[in-house]
Amino acid sequence: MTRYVIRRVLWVIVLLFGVISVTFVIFYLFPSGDPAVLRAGPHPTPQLLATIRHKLGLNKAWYVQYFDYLKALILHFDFGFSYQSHIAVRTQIFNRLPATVSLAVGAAVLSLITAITIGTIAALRRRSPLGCLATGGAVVAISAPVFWVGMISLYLFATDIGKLAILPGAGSYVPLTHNPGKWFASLIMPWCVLAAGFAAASARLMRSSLIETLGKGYVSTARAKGISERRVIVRHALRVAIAPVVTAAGLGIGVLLAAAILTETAFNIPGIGRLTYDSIQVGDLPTIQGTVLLGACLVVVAKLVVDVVYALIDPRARSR
Amino acid sequence: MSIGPPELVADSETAAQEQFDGVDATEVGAPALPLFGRRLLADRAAMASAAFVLVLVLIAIFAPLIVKAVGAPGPYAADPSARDQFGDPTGPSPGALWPFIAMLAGAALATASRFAPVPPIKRYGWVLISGIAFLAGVALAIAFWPSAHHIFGVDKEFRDLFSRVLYGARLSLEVAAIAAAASLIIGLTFGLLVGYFRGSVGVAISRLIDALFALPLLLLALGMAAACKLARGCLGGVLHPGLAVVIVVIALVNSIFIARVMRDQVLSLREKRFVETARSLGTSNARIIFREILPGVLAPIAGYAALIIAQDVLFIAALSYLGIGIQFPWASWGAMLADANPVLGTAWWYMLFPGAALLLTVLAFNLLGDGLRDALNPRVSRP
Repeated sequence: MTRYVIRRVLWVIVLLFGVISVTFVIFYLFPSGDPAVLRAGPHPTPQLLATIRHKLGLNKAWYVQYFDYLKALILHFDFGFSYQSHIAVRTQIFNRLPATVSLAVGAAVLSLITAITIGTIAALRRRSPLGCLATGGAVVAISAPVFWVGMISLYLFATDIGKLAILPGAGSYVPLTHNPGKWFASLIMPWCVLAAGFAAASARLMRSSLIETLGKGYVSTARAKGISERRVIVRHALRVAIAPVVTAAGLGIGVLLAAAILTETAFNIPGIGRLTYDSIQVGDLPTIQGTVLLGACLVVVAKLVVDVVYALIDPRARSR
Repeated sequence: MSIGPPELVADSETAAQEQFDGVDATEVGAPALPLFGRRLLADRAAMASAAFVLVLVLIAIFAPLIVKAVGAPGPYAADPSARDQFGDPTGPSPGALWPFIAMLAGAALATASRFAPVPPIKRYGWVLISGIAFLAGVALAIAFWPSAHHIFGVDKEFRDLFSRVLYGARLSLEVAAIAAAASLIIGLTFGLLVGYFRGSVGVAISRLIDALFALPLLLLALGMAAACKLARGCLGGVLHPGLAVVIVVIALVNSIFIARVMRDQVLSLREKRFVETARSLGTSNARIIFREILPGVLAPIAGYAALIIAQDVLFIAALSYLGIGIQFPWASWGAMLADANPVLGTAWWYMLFPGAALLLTVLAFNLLGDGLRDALNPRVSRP
């Protein structure tokens, strides 16, 4: 187990290094035009441009810039400075992080529970109308753009504009520490919307995985022993069938975060997704760079956590 | 919604495994074409979505003609006279929705008829119901649309929404098809070479693909599109923001996914006995790749391509929604939805039509891809 964890951690360090390098290429080398002007906001003064050039070392060769960028990031955890809002990008992001984490974690838990339930029903009642409805509904949910589903549900259920005003609408987010009840109520809709697509994808996987497992020899053996069907499914089949679903969910964390950006935009939740959207609208490049970088790093680390937890539960995963 | 291919990859990986596990049809070559055709024809969802995709492509090609035929003013022209008594943009014309309601009801009934207790209805009911619904939809469209001034209403700039949604189909399909084709070519080439030639360079590239695959590519793609947008160009001005950036970003991301899937398939194919046989007969590498391996990977790729187009359409819309995709004045569904966001409560039509078009397009390609994959997979049995 220790060897497995060490191997994973080393791999994650390589990946983090990759994320940092790719971000450098994307934000320093790709864009054309003066990088200082890009970072200075809409009304740059010559002094400001000179400061930025000096601070980022834009006159030096690209590898020196890269080295400085690495040093600032690793030693000082410095994500740059937003000249638009006159605040360090790091502070800005960390203020917004709780909202994104509550949205993403809640949606992940909700989608896994729904997926396992629906997938199991669809697998056990394959030919019934209920099973077909679940399978068909899953394809629709996978195909629906998350921001549009968000808009539709706001139009239907939000208290301010909804036809059936039952849930707090856009911009109603309250931090958990302020008012847990309101926090929960404001996130019900975003959670459901964000979870829908993932639940659908996982439910499909759950269905095919369970169908495959039910055809295995040990399930027949269990049945032949005279164990009740419920016990065969719950104790013998489900436990094995869930494994690929959890693996796929772990792989999907990156997509979850990308979809969370869209959900936050639609619901106006003040998380890092909305921050990214707002920064795009006002042209605040350092903030976008920071959110992309931190988001990508978070995803890589979250995958590591999922992998290790998974290996704790299922020893077979360690040998892979 | 799950934008981005990971789910797709997980799915197709299991499909690939199913396809290449143990004794299977690939050992004796791809499933025979007539069998594939029969299986596909038996898949009603796939056939319906294939028909829909065909209609969509026709709509995309003939968008200007259709717009003219219903007398709409075109996607870019503002019509300041389209105001209600408060001076706000007007909504859909009365009766504009009836054709869609008729067709949706028909589709729902046709699906439900499969579970009817009466055997004849169960078997043939759907043909009758969907035929009637289709004719009813066309009749209602002919009855209501040509007399309408703006069928779907107008947007906040008083531009005709009907024309914009049609032109949006054109744009989405064009961009998605180009991006998908580019990523298929790049991914297939890399996958074949890296999977077949396992020298040190091949293994190194293979590792690189694995590492890239493990990165959160969608986020990085988003960052790249944003950087290009803000800098008004990329790579020393080679890439202009808008269409070019979107295509390049999507093609880059997808080709990594495709290369990985292809490599894994080639890796398992090259160990098969027929490849070994060819090699022992002294067949050249090029011939083995093109004659023995390529046909085996092309079959699964057909279904995969449809799924990729679906993901691309979604991703294009997502980028445009965030304001870093296809730019004003182009009619893109994602940008329309972004414009609709602030006026949700009042101008519902502005969000409904582009979003529904987006959903139906993605759904059709997804169903078609699933159908193709199942039809080509000898181990999936269908009722």
